[in-house]
Amino acid sequence: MTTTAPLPLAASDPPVRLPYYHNLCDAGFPSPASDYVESTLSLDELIGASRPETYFVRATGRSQVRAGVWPGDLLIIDAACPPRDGDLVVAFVDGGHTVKRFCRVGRKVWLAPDPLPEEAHAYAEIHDAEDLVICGVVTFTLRSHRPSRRDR
Amino acid sequence: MTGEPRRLVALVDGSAFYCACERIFRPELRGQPVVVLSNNDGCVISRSIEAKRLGVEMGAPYFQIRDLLAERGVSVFSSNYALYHDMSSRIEQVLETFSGAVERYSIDEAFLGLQADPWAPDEPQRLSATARAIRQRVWDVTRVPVRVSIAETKTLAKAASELARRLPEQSACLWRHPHRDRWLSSLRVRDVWGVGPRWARRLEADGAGTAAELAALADDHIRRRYNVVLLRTALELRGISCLPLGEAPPPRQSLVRSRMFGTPLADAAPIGRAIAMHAAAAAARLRQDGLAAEAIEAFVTTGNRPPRWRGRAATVLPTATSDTLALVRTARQLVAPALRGARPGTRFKKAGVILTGIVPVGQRQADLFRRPTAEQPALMAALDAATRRFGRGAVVVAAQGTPDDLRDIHAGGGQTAWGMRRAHLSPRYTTVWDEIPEARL
Repeated sequence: MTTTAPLPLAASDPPVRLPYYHNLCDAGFPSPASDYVESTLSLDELIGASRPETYFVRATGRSQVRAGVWPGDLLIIDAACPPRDGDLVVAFVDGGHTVKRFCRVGRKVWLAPDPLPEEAHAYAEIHDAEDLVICGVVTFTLRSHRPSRRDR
Repeated sequence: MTGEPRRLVALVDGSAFYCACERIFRPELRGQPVVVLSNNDGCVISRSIEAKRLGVEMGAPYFQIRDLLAERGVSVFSSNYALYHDMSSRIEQVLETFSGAVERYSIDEAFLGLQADPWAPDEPQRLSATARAIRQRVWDVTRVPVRVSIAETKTLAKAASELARRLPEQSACLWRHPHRDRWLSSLRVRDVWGVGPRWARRLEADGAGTAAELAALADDHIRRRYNVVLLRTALELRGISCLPLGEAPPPRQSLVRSRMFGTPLADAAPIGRAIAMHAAAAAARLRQDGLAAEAIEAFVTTGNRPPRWRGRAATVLPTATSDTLALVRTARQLVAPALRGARPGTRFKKAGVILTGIVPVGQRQADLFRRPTAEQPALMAALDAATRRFGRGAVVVAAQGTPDDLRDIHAGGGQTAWGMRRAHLSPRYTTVWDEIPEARL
């Protein structure tokens, strides 16, 4: 029996750019351009890291939210995106930033601490859309599965 | 029939910009009085409208008004330039989606080139809508309120900005505005961009106390009694552009970086580290603006109390440079000459560097007979990238002292002997991972 040692993953810096080939499964005559690298995958691009409306916020506090956000997660926030019903948002409530579920029915707008629809009313904090301070919509969360000092 | 498009200028102007930046992550401070202090928490350099209404003066020394501010519940911040520069560049990015020609005039002002179709009857309305859209988009992206004013020239756009300040929509298009003449007749000449207080007094005595009256003065008269710079202002007020985009202020002629020491210093070693730090900061600033310096001076002073002593030493660089290592090395060589002649034991209060002969990088002249300044552009690019990524002080030249020294200063504790006092510093919310805002789950 032979065992194959896993390939060593060299620590690379600058970060690896993964080539993204577009034309791999074409049947028939191979495209002469199929050897070309169409683009590279960029996490920065995916989450819009360099867009001016993108901000980063660290989640803290309670053990877990049912939305799937854990303390220590890095939240990627779009400050310019108008929140839609059901969006996870960072809002400013009672003197601090909190992660909430944005709910809208008709003209009524409220924030729910949790995404459970049957419980939402119990927690409902109904606000006029006017005096609700929404800092941005959570577009992505980033979690390290090997928390270091930085990620707590 | 179609004509040439009319070139217009939009001015986007952040009111009390530093205060607005401090409110972004502290929305509870909206509508509350806020002031921002200069380096070393010296004096007020930005005040919100609410602070202004409480009688807080620009430039007021902090130690004199500290009690008043506390009594009136004014929130006080040390200047957080990392945050202000980041927000300013976010705004610039937004503006670039509205115009291909964006000229950043200062940290809180930018000019945009816009075009109008002079034959379309509803162009002024369209431009007013554009102005409102710019303001709205900047708010959505940054939560910084800006004023937007549109006119034919920069000087008129500046004037229109004063008009916008008084309007609820905080934006205005002066071009073809029905009340344009009335507005320019009510704008005092001293409030016109580029008219200093001395000229304003002379113009008032001359019967030209308003913008409209200055615009109406005869060219010859202005040239004879004043000068060509004021003539240019008058032409601009008439709608004739004399300050095209990208051409406005000539690059700064000099760049000064200096700071008081936390406690007076007699020892050359920490003074040398402080000077190295100033040289490095100045070099980074030059690179950011695409500039290079031809000469550098290092100076130390004992401050205003006798015995007064000021030592300085300067040298011309082989070629203009913005290279941190070259400037730090040169600055270090100037420390001993600058200290020479001081009585032993003299306690210095302040040190710094002055860079002069500042030229855009493209324009620098090589000297045929001297070896060019040794530069390491790749290293500088890496240094700037590391600074952007990990924050100021992440990578420093060893001559500045350890990164820990630098971190201590930036933390505002002022532990290092030459550290800066920044007791009210807010986090660098957008530029340092460890300082990003937190949200409770």
